Amino acid sequence: MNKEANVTDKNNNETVLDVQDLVVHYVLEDETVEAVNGVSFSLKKGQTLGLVGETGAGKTSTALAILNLVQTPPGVIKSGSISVCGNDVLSMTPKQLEKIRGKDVSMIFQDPMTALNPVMTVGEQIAESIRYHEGLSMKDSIDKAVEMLELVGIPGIRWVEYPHQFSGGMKQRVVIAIALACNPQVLLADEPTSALDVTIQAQVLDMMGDLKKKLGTALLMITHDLGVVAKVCDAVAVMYAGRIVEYGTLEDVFNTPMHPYTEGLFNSLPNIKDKAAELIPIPGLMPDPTKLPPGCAFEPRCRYAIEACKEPCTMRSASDTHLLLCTRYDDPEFEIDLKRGGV
Amino acid sequence: MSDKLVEIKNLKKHFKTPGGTVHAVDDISFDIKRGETVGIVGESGCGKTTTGRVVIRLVEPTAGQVLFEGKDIFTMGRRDLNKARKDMQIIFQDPFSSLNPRMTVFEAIALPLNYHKIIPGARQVDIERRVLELMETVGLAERLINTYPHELDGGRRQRIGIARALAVEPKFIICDEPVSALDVSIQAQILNLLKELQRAKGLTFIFITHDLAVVKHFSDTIVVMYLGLEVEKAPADALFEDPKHPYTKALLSAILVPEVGANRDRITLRGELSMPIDPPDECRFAPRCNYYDPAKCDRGTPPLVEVAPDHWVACHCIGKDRNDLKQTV
Amino acid sequence: MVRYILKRLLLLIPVIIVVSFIVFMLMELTPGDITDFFYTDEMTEADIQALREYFNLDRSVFYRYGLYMINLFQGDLGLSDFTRLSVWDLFISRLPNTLILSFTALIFGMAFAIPMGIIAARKAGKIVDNLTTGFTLVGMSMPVFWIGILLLVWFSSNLGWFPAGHFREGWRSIILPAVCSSLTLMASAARQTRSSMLEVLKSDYLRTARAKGVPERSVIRRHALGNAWIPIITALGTSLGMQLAGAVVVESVFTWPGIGRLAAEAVAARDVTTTTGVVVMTTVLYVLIHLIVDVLYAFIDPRIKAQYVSGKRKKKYSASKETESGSNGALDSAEGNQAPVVAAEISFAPEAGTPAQEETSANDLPKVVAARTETKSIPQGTGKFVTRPHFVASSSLKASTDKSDAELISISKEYKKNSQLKEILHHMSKNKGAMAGMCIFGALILIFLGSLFISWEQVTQSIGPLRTYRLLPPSWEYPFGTDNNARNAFLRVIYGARYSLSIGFGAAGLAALFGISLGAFAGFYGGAADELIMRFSDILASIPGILLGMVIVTVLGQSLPNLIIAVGVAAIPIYIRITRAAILTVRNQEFVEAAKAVGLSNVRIIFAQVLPNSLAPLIVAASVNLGMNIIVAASLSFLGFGIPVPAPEWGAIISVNRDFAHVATYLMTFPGLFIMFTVLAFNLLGDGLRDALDPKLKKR
Repeated sequence: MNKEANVTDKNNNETVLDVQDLVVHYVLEDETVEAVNGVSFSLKKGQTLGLVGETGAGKTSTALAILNLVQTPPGVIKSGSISVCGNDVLSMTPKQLEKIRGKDVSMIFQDPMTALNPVMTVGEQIAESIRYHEGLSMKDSIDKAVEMLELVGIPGIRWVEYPHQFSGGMKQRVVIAIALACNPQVLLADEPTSALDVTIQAQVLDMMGDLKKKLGTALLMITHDLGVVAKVCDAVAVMYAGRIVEYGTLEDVFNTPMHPYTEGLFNSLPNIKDKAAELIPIPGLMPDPTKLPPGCAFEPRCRYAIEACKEPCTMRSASDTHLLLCTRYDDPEFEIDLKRGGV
Repeated sequence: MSDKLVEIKNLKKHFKTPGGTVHAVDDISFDIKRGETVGIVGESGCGKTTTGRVVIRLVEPTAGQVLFEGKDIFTMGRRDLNKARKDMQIIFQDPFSSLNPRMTVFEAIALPLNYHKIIPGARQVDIERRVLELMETVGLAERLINTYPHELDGGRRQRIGIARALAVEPKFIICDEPVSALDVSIQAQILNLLKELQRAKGLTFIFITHDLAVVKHFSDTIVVMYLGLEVEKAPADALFEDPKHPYTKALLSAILVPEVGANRDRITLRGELSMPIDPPDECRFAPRCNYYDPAKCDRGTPPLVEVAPDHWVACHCIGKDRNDLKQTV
Repeated sequence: MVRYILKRLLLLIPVIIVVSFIVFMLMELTPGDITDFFYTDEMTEADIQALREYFNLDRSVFYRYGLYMINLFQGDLGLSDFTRLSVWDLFISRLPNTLILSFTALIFGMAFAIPMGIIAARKAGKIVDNLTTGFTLVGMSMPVFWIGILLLVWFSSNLGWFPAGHFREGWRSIILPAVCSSLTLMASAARQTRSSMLEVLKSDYLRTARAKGVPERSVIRRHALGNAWIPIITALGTSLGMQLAGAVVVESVFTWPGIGRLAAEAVAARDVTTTTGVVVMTTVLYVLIHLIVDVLYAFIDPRIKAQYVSGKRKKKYSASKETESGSNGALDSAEGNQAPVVAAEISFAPEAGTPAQEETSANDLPKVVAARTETKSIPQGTGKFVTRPHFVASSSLKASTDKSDAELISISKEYKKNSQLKEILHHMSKNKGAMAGMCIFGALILIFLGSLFISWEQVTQSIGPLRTYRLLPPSWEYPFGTDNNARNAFLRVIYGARYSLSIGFGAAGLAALFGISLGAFAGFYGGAADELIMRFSDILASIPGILLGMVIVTVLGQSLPNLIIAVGVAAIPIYIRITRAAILTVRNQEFVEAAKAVGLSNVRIIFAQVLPNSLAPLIVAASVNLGMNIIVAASLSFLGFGIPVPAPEWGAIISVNRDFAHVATYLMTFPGLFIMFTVLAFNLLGDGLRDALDPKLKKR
């Protein structure tokens, strides 16, 4: 099904990333992990989409699939289409993929401590990307690398230093510099600040925001932290058990959430404004990705579940921009009960 | 009986390393009343984890006292200390490494029961009964009684840790980032459980965390630490309503609220976190402080001063009726 | 950096003192003395007395030692008691020969090993990998002297391609000894390369490189190899050390005039001065090689370099290598140690990305402070895939006290725990190699039992008149033929199983007993005790194992128990190191702190909590060590320092039948094959156990 949500775009209508019905499974010896089960979304130029979910929701697998970096074996992209700047990723040869990685679409990962090669200087690591994609000489690449370092807030002369000489936050900046060195249209960020301390997180997010504005990069921000989403994203997709259960603009999802899981997420968060507010956790656990039910995966934990929820479900449109994967939406009287302390 | 269960006085813990002496905990003092929760917040290198460990004497201090029900645990003899251990317990952060991989749920919870002979004249079935009770208290299904930690997920493992801590019927529990390694929805479950337990059993907690939203939900008093020192100490509501220390302000503003448009005016700190190695006698926050002024600030380490009832701040620019903070950055 | 080098060189002094003391005293303890060789019938009492005075034998042993040390520190190694030639001259004249041989073997071996290891790692799990593993395991299981003799027989005697060593015939004479020497080296270096490559291939920075579009071949060449070099260099250093140690055996087989042979001759001649001198010098060489490797290391790895340049220095024993993630660090280090000589753990392997980790010896610091100063822990849930979910009952605080005793008993019956042993066995059953190892081991047990039925007479008496029965080829009646004394070779080989298995287990048991206790003590208590124990362990490990074994057997006399002691003592450092590493890893885990918080005493914590969790690397190391002990024992017997003839220990059989190698090769083939298969069985089991005990596999 086509889920082209016409989310408010920043610059123009150009779609830089389009994912349709993506299915990614990991085939193990005695079982198959159904990590991603039919995910569709798109990113327009300069837009920021937040992909929200807890561990095991399939967010990282989705991002890796976009770069076709899913570990094969045991991973398998079973079906779906991914198009980056108009190019079909899944039908590319390895050489073609190497060309677009780092150039049209980049990815940064969660743990900065292990993301950098310990025996290469940070300058060389940034320059490497530039050399491969822009064909510049070593010297010119280093010059550009120095510029990138300055851009991310690191003194340029430090390009000769090795990763271990930088702190966690600075390492992550280097990682961002590498990713943005060739000015990609799309940046996939997989929990980029989760491993950082709070005040450093603030620094890095601010910097990312500035860079994004300057370079016009579209950003897919994968995170479990709704606060981060509120700060940096224009649009939100909530993932659960490999499917997007709610999709819309930031206002759609945050001000008028409609899916019971989304409600559960918001209700689980300690409310900084109202201390006495009770935390309402979602009972139970995430389903076993090797034994997903045919119907709604959230049904066992959902307090609004009815019999019909055990049947397979399709996306509903709550509005032009707001999509929802919930059978109960059909019932006009249905409403979730958000107990958040309010603004 | 004093209502002060724990009194921490001038606690210090220094580590000697080839690179210098790390002042992990430098002169911390605060009191905890019965049934109260004191939250300790800070980022990496602030010393909160070390503090937790020293307070129950898992690590020997360099200096200072910790009075538990009036008696200094550092000068206790072996027998008294063992008795005290029944009253003080700890819940760890990492739900995997805090459980012995070779012990089943039953064995892990039964260990403290057996060691302290909690149940006099216990037969095997009595121990089992107690273990099952504890499991039910923390929400573990009884069929998990003989499973190993690696067969369970993080949330359940953490529950085992809690059950183990409860087994000895302690009065005082240190919670060292008990939910940081868990998913959001599980976090909420565990936090609720801890709150329930506190209400039902009148437990006293120290709650160590870096997550300010969680600590506000859970604490009565909050101590903010930075590089081994207390920089601010106040009742939770007061701290959030009127944070005084520049670091506290930055920390609070760094919390991202999951609401549209709420995260506008944020204070961003410059600089990086570091380790308090051989720190000179000066304000340790100065290098990152947005209000740093050499004229006001270069006069040694600022002492912790009570600037409002029960509200303590360590800052040269803030006094009882004085607030000279001027943004210089 | 210079300061560091100087400090290490200074540390040589205590090493020299201790080693020379040990060897000197041991040699002195040997029954008999140097005058035995000069004694003739014509000497009068006065002559004998004068002779004894000449050798200072009228004074105390400490006097002689003192004299020796005074000379030593003036750079004078003394004169050989036997030949009255300068020990220094002897050593220096022979040293180049050994070095040439060692380096040639090293280059040859590495040239094959490194590419093999890399390819095996990249194609892990596929046929190429399995073949490589098979080849390396077999290679590590073959005794060097056996291969040497076989090579001589095939290539020298039969084919006449190469001269039989002797050093005199130009470059061609080095080929056979070098190839022989390089085989075991090749095998263990290939394994080491493979496992370090595998580690690197799992790294996150490779993913980063791919994500930025670096072509795959560059990813492997620049990023993967660039990092894999580091542990390979360590392997190089270890290998060179092993070469030195194994020199004794190779030089004996090929009559190569190197320091190995010098040492063997000196020990046999009870030449105290020469023996001490050679052992000390070899040890010094050994330590110097390691120093060079470490310095090299520092140049390759910027993380290490930074530590020296900036003035911060790490302690000698890199506990951080040993506290690598889980016990795998310790598991892997069990691998590379093939030869009896264990490479002292003096090198530094940095932990990825934690430069601030100043790991002092075991004290409170590591866990709390050194843990990530910049990042908080990653809020992972259960890892990538959520394990089987079960519904958690909503947390109610009702505690039910109303379960009856009967109900409780039925509960625990109903939810039986999975035996961890069964799990391990299950994993192993899936591993073909391990199953093969089990089968061979089973066969060995049968052979061992069979050997109990063979009598001493049967293996020492001739079956009949020599002329008719000697050197008969294999037949139905005599499956392994008959030897030069018309003895039934088959019965002799089967009987020999008694020795091999007893030595293997006996020596391992001895080494484990001392090694584990010392290692546990060092690991748990740290501080001065740790320092002391590690120094002792390092020094013991610096003495080439075969040499040490030779000296011990000379002192104690040739017999089975003494051989066990000799082999066992040389293996102690392995157990110390592995135990200490495993304990250091475990004791930083929070469940140990939890036990402490309950109030358990240290002793109880060590035995009930820490040790059981440290077993994995120990078990793996022990199984590898079992095989090694058998090879060492066979080598010692081959050299004549084992169980006295006519005992049919496998190494001794090979030695005895050496002279008939070209006419009756079968006499040597079978005992050698038996050694090989026995050791192979242990190595296969060790491999299988390592995989089965791998903690990563537990997270399902």
